[in-house]
Amino acid sequence: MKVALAVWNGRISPVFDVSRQLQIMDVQDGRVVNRVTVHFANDHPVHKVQRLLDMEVDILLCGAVSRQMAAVLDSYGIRRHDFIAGDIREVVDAYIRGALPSAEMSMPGCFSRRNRRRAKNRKGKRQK
Amino acid sequence: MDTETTRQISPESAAAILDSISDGVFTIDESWRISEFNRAAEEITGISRQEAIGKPCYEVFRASMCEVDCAMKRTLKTGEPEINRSGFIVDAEGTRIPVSVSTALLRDSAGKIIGGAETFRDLSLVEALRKELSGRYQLGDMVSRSPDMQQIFELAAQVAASTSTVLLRGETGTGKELLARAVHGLSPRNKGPFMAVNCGALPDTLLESELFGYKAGAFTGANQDKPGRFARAQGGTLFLDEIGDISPALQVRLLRVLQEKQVEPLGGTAPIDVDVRVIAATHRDLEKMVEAGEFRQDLFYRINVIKIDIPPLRKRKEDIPLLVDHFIGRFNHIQAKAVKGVTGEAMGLLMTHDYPGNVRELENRIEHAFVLCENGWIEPRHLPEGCGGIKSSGSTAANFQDAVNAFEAQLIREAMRENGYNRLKTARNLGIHKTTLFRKMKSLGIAFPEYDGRNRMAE
Repeated sequence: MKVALAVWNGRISPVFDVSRQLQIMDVQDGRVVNRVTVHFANDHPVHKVQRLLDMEVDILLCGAVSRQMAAVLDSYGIRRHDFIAGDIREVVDAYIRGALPSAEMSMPGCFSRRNRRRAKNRKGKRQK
Repeated sequence: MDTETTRQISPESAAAILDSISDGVFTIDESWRISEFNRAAEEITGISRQEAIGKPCYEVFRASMCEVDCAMKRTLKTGEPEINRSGFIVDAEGTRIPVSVSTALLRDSAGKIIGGAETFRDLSLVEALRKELSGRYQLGDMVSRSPDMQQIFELAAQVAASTSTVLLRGETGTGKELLARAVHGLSPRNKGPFMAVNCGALPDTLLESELFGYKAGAFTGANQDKPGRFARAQGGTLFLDEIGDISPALQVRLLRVLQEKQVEPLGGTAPIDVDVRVIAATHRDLEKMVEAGEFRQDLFYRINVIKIDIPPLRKRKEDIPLLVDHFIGRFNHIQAKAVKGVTGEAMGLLMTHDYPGNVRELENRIEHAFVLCENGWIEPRHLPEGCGGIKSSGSTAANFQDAVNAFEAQLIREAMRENGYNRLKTARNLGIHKTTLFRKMKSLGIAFPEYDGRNRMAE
């Protein structure tokens, strides 16, 4: 399983649309077995997505993602946990424990709002 | 004197002053954590003061400049304020809010730097007006204000730069070819040709020779070489409409072309290299066709690199007035007429129609009205019969109650469809009691569907 984290200053990069650095980890049996750092040459969404596809990333952990960027990620079928904030090690640890998304690791103002929407969608599906 | 005045301001008064400012204001301490967050900042970012205070500013503000070129960092470094730096922030819904940012240092009474203050202004309205003026509600020949379509316009502009295959999905008449043309127009290949082939309109053998071409003598009647569309689209874009309609044999050949980037004309001995970007489109559910074994999975993956779903017109009715204006402008130009627009009544009827034929149907309706209306305003009598569910009766304009009834009927039909024809759910969704729904359906003459949402055939 290849997990990519958009990083900056030891934390999750605040806005994925303009983030420049990616840490890609191989996670096997709950352990990080390999870690490489790659850079984005520019902020073009297709370039970013292509980079993720080239690196065979399974899931992206990142900060805020605009709807425009999210549409490109979705159109290429890239899964993600977005609007995450925090220290890289803590985020990786939470991901491995299956604790994402969580209130502690979410950007301010995002967890309750985004989860309310997710819960609403789930409820809607159940009713159908 | 200034210093004296500042000393006399209580924290409560300072907070009140901050809250009275219409620009967003926040301050940070030396560890880049938010220490003040005013009311306008709450409104613009959608984050409450309680959630913001004490958090790193870049995780609250989430601006495009935080990581690469932070205005506050510059100010702290140079001691000089930064004024009106442009960028955008991303709110919890993923909306990019354009902002202008100004920064200044915060010092204590001894002059020691204790942090910084940042003010920011929401430029959404300015940006919207700029969009309106520069025609950014338009992509190629498509116009839309609906958020879904705006997103598609931006996505199309972004994917245009890549060479990836694009799959456009949408009902007939939604503008798949227009979007394909727009992607081609925005791509670096726009100097090359744009070729469109409707795969559903040609029989298999004809489609094969149309796509791949043939050599003289390949079959009876092939007197000279004919290059296929792939070869003719060299350096440009090939739009394959109704890709779901091609036969399994042709699917195999198409897959080989996409993989190897070479075509072999019928009767040819050597393959030809092709540099063509393929945009495919379908109104069919290819995933289901793959499951049913009707469409090759490998070809599906090959064409489904980027997928764009174009919503039907009934899901973005807010676009109807804009589209009507767009078509009137175009037909006035083509037909040298001076039609001013549509009357309120006529627009009401146009708004209540279901548009199974989507934008193309709306365009046809306006074209029909242009035949009957020389100049002035398009009235209900100029519109084709069946528009809005009301028969146009010569000179009699539809009255207000008719328009209301037509709108109600439209709303109920849409809600029924969206709720899988389950009447209770439809009633809940519309916020009315189920008996009210039944009564309205009866009075509006809406037939109860044969198949209802409780998964049994109605008696």
